[in-house]
Amino acid sequence: MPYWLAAGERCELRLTIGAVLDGAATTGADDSFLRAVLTELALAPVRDRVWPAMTAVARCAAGYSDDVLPIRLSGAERGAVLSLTGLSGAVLSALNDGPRAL
Amino acid sequence: MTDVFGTAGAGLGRMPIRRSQINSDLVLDIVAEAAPELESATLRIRVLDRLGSDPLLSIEEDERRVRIDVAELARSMEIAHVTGSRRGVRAAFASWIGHRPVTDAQADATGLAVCGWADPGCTTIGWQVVVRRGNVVAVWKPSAAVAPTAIAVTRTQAQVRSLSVRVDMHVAGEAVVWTCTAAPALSTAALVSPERMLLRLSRRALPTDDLLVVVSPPNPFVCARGPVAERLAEESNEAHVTLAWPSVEALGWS
Repeated sequence: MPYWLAAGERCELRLTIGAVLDGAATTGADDSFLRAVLTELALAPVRDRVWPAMTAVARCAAGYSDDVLPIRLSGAERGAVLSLTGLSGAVLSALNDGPRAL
Repeated sequence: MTDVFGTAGAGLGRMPIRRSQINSDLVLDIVAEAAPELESATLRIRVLDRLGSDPLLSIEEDERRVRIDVAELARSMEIAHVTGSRRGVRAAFASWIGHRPVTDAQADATGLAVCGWADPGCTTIGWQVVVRRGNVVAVWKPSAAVAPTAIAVTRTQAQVRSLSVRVDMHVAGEAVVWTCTAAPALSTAALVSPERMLLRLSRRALPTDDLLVVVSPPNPFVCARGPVAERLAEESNEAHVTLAWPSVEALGWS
């Protein structure tokens, strides 16, 4: 079950994780999980390009805007993200609201 | 993905959208209006009246002939969620005509090679010859009259033509999406020349070893290394195959 994040939220998450992996910020999170989240953030628009109908139907049903994409995270990956400091309320809210059906 | 009527009927069918009512008279009206523009030197569209039954729509082109009950066509449009306006039915009819069988001559003259599903269960892919008709990409099934040698020539020519299809590369992190923007169903034409794909990847300083290809006809396809390709494929509900590079080079005809 995916978490739904808008383009700005995905960008914020990517930049925050990038800073941690570059050593510019610190966290207790396992780097491998954060790298996996970066991979997932890159794959979300790929899935939308290859299989646009799948996401469009779910997005339409939920009333999301066109830039909102499903992000699929394991429990460990989500935990690594939630351990980061400085994430906005919008990102935390999307990840804390729980996954929603596609 | 759209159906033969150009609607997203299959996907939106999961949603509670009310269907339009489309009757035979409206379809007959649209056929009479649109046929002169859709017909060509070889394509003939006619309505055949039948005593005591609904009229038949007849589509004839070279060796191909399709006949369908007009009422059945109207019902199929309803099921596909075609909009019941004159404009909606006209667009659906034009799309349906675009999906008519490809003649042997058309395949020979303009066919392109792309990947398609080789089985009804969508578990294996192979090459197929298609013809582009505007927004529609229609698949060629050789007629019984074509000799095996002629089929082979048509297929080879289609593969050669596929080298001219413009397929763009979009780099997304560790994955590369290959898309024919003009007609996404032609995206896999790029797989005709894996060597050229590798060259394009290396020119962009992208990795070319241990690549997997995720193919989901008729959609764009993706190249990525093992774990990334696997993550992409695992999380998709839609039919797809993941191929190692040598399998791409060994693809047969479906």
